[in-house]
Amino acid sequence: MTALAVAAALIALVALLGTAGVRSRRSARAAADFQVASRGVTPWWNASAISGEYISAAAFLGSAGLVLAYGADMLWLPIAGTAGYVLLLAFVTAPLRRSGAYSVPDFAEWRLGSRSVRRIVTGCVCFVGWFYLLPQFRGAGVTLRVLTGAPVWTGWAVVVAVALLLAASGGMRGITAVQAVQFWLKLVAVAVPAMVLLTVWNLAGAPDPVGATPPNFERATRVQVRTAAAVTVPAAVTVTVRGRVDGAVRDGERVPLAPGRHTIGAGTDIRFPAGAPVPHAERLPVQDGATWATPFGRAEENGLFRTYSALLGVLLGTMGLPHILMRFYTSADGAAARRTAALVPVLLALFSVFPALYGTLGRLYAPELLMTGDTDATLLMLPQRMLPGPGGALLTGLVTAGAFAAFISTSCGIVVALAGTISQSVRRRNGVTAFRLGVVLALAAPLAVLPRIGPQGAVGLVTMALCVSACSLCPLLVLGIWWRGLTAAGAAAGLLAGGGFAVAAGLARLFSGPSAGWPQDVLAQPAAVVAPAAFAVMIVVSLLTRRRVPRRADRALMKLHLPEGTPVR
Amino acid sequence: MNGERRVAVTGTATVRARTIRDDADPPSGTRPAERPAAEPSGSDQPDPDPLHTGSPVPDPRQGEPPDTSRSMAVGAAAATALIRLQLGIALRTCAIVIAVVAGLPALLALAPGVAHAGVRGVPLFWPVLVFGVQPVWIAVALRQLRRAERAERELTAPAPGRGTAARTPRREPVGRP
Repeated sequence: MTALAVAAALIALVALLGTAGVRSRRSARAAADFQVASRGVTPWWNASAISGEYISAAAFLGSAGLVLAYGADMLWLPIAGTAGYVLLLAFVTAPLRRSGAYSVPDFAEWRLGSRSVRRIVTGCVCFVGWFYLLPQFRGAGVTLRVLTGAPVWTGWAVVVAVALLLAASGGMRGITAVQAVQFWLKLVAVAVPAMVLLTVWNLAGAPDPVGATPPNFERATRVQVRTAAAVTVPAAVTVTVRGRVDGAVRDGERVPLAPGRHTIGAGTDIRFPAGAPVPHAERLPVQDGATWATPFGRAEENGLFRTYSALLGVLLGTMGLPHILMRFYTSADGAAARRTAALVPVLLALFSVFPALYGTLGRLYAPELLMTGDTDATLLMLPQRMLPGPGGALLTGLVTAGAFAAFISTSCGIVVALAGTISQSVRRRNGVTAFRLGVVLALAAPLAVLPRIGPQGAVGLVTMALCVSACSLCPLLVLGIWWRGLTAAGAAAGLLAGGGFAVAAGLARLFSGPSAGWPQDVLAQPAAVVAPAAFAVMIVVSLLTRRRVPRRADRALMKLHLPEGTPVR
Repeated sequence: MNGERRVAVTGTATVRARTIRDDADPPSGTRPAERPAAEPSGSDQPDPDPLHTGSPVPDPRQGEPPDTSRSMAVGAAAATALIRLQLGIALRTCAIVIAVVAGLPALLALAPGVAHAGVRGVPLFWPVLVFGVQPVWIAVALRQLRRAERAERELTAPAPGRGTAARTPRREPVGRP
């Protein structure tokens, strides 16, 4: 029944997006039509589209999973995400719109008059986009696997197919309407199940999610382990195993598990009695209720540094997201772009309540996700767990539609932004062909990496993309908009140093997995060190090359900051 | 557009009040053939006053005194003042954001008593973090929007003391948090 509901939801979603896309789409004749939707989208409509693009797999699924796994320490991320838009509004939106540059590379070339800086910026934009696409694919794969048992690549295929279709047929003109519709769809898809599940929780006597012990299975539970895993068992428990545990093959025997580390083979089926403590995937911390509910409760090494670094990365990284910046270009002028940006926090605030709610309910009703490590699926599992039967299947279908809306809207936004950027830097051929080539390139790079990366949550991957943006594009935009002394050499040095280190740290983290200690902490969350360093390098090198400040820096700054059409003497 | 620009570069400009929109088209990428024309070779030349230490340099293309008959036109000094003002507004917004984002974790990490405080088992700061902070961002965003728009309005408003109006914004009680 769940599979049926999921299939119905996907078909309905594609139909809805198709209609929205076709209704708003006119014949796209040139590349310009593809990249820039018709101007004059109203601030509310555009703010919905921006929020729709920002609510990706990470915000929709991942943050609830993080709250389930790590607890109070993860409540910061939605706060920093919204705060990033406040900074974007304060520093970037209106001036960037007034520059008329539709992408960051365009802006860099116009402001600094250097083709080489443009090329470096293009590289940074590509890495930000690619890192950002990874969690979308991953989220889609996990969603379909958890709900229907399909192999992970089916989820990737669905997202790639829809993104290709939408991006290559309608370009951005089709996408503005699609994105705006998707924001409201996503809001309904989390809000309605939240109301229902809260009611169910209340009717069940409002059990306390903050128990004195690590989470328990509320009732007898059967857990299927799909991929081989190592788990930590918090307290002794006897389980019924069909499959391989600690290297020994069992066939429906009762096996006592001592506290500590155990390995479980792929395809193993384990039955836990009611009240059994939940084993945790090795990379997740085992926490009792009080630790879970207290920030910094785990007394983790360098916990404060990690938190600050992650927050700074999200805060500054929001300023440089290529798909979000491109969207402001659809506003009529700088003032409209600014109003749009001011509305985005309102919409995101509506959304930010739900991760904490679902994560908390997940600790009560879907704790086995801590064992399988699929915490990104918290939101998807809860309706079935709390409301078995057709009602739960219906809600699961709704949540799935919302989840795929999240994957698809973000993927489309990034793919269009990347394709525009790539096609402009290889502009030897016909614009439309170059754009389509860019779409393929934008999708191919993350797909090639995807099968090789270790277990990563959606939020971790998005933070990585934001960190690259915070360490490269954010300093460029802020200094380029507000400081006339920025030189091409300074910008290039800062971009190479900051972006280079952030990309290297991201790749290291992708392929090596999490670890502890100071150097590793800096590698895992480099923003607090690298972003200020990138600012410093840009400023120092610009001062050293001060004789090469572009001659028209003053006029450029005037164009950025004076309202359009202001006569100047 | 570009025609006017080329005239301006050769130094024979007689047009005193140009609109910003007509000036220095960025490489929008949608017209690749025009990009070289829009980026003249002189675009990356050294600046004689790189750190902007002197008084705001009048555009070298204008040897004549400013045209006082165009009271709406904005001079370089007023533009610099606007940029300073806008930067101040943005930095104040940034300071509020940083204070909240840096202050809350520090408070909870350094004063664990606050983190443990709760009513009937529900730690108090959960509702604060989940419901309390986002409205602050909405308020800060609207404050930033209102101030930035007012700064622009005062720059272009044909009011007495136009040049200095941007430097000293009206202190209305409504604008203060």
